[in-house]
Amino acid sequence: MGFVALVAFALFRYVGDPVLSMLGQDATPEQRVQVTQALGLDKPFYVQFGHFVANAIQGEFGVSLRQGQKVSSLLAEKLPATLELALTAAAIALLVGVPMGVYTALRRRGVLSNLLLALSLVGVSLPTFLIGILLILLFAVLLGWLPSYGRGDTVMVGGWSTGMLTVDGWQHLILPAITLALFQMTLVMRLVRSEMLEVLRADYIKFARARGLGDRAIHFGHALRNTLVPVITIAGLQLGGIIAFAIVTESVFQWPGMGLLFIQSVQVADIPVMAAYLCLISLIFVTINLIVDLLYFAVDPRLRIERSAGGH
Amino acid sequence: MKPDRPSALARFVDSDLWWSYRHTPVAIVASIVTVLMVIGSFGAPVLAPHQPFDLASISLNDALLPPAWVEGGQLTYPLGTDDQGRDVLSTLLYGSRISLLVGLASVLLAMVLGVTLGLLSGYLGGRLDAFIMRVADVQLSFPAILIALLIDGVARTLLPQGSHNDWMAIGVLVGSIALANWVQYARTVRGSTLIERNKEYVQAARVIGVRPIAIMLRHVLPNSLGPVLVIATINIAQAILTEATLSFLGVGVPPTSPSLGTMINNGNNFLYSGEWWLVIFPGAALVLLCMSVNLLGDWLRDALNPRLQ
Repeated sequence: MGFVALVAFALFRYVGDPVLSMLGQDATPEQRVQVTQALGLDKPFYVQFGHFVANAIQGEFGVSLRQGQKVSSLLAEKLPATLELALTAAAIALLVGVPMGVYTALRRRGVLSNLLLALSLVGVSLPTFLIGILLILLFAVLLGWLPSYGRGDTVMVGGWSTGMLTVDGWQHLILPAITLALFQMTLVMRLVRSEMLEVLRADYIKFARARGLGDRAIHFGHALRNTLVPVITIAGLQLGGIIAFAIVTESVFQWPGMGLLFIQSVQVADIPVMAAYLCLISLIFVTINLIVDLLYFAVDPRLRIERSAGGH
Repeated sequence: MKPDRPSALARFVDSDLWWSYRHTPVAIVASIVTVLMVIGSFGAPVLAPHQPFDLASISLNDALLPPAWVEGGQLTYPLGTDDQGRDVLSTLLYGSRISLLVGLASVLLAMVLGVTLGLLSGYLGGRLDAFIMRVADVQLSFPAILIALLIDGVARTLLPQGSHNDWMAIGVLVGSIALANWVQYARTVRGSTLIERNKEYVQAARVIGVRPIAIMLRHVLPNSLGPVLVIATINIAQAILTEATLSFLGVGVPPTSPSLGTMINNGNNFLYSGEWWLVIFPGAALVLLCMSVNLLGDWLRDALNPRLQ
């Protein structure tokens, strides 16, 4: 029962966070005046803030100061681009990272394993934007194989503009998605590797070996399945990281998503857009955290036993 | 009679840490690279072959020259020049200085902030503890880069319009990176404070009437600093990368005093016209710096971890 209370509490807190950061702005009256003047708004800050909260609940974030368009429609326009990018990146990170992690754990002394580990160390020190620039330099400028900016041709499917139905759209997606996936990929790989090594040492693996099971059954039927529990959790949380780092990737590739919109708004102090973006991001984060918590609960039987035994 | 104690240097040479250092080639190489880069960047006014920010000494005629070994390059500009005719090598040295300064300052600020809050939180407990840790939890669920970006963005709008000068912008940047990273320190220090505060020496100090502040600073703090130093080393690389990312996004240090990130951002504009050296060299410097600091941090963590010995 404590679990449910915690989730409800977390939900309340996370959603409240952008509110907290907004409140921080009316620290002193002078600052308040300056903000109002700087933005050319004559109402005092707290009145706007009150309006903001009331409207935000209805999904209404006002008009962008820079583009004169409604923020809600502005964001709705950009949301598909960011989601497509983030989900593709997450898929790449998992589909490549997990096998690499398994491989490096099973062939611990192999040359390829050491190479992959060394590369992952470089990957951690290489900032996302630099990876993006290097990929552009290699594949777009020097080789000329792939386009380097924008989303390409998009198709509207029921109000959702997608680039995934055209060849051009896919070509535009490859470089940004790889850029965004690379860091998460190294994380997933290292995590799977260390979990796998841990599990392979466990008693039930020895027992499985003693029973005469083949390598294949042991590695994939027993070891990998037990490894995946923490991996699912981390992967879910990393999706939040991917959405945050999409700001950087979108900015490198001029990908017309929410991140690019946000960074342009920061540069010109477009408060309504910034606030709306933050609320939306918090909402996504809370949803992810909630799903991960529930998933963890569904995947790990020990947690369910604990609850039926009375709970905490 | 004072007992005969070996000097600090002798004790250091004799210590496990020094032994571990001498027997870890990676740590030696990483520290040499780090020291060289620190010397190069802080000695920039002396070492740099040109003065990139002295308008009198740069000439637009020299703009966009390739590195010396490429056809058309000149030996006076070993790594080429940028669009304004500034020597890339000199700008690089000055840029690393700003990157390093911002990285070190923000880690230091985050450390002071985190350690103070963690100490108060762990030692005093109660509502303050609950509040600080709640804020920490919320912050921890968001990536640091997003928080730094957000604080930086909000702070910029709050600053009075007329007062945008370089040092102010750098200060805001340092502050926002620090505010995005204090949580780790606070949590670590709080954890060890909770353990230390119930030990006998702390109780003894309390019984003889030492004031809480003195207990916290002189008794509890020294005993919880070890892990903090490890986190700080690893965070320096992280902070430098954060700074570079923010500068690349155009919300970091102002273009008039470019850091490595600003240089890469500028070079990015010339990517399609083939001037690759404007991106590659600052990028390589950034990666080299971060990687060697990271490796040093990894080594320090392993060397100070009693479980691994």
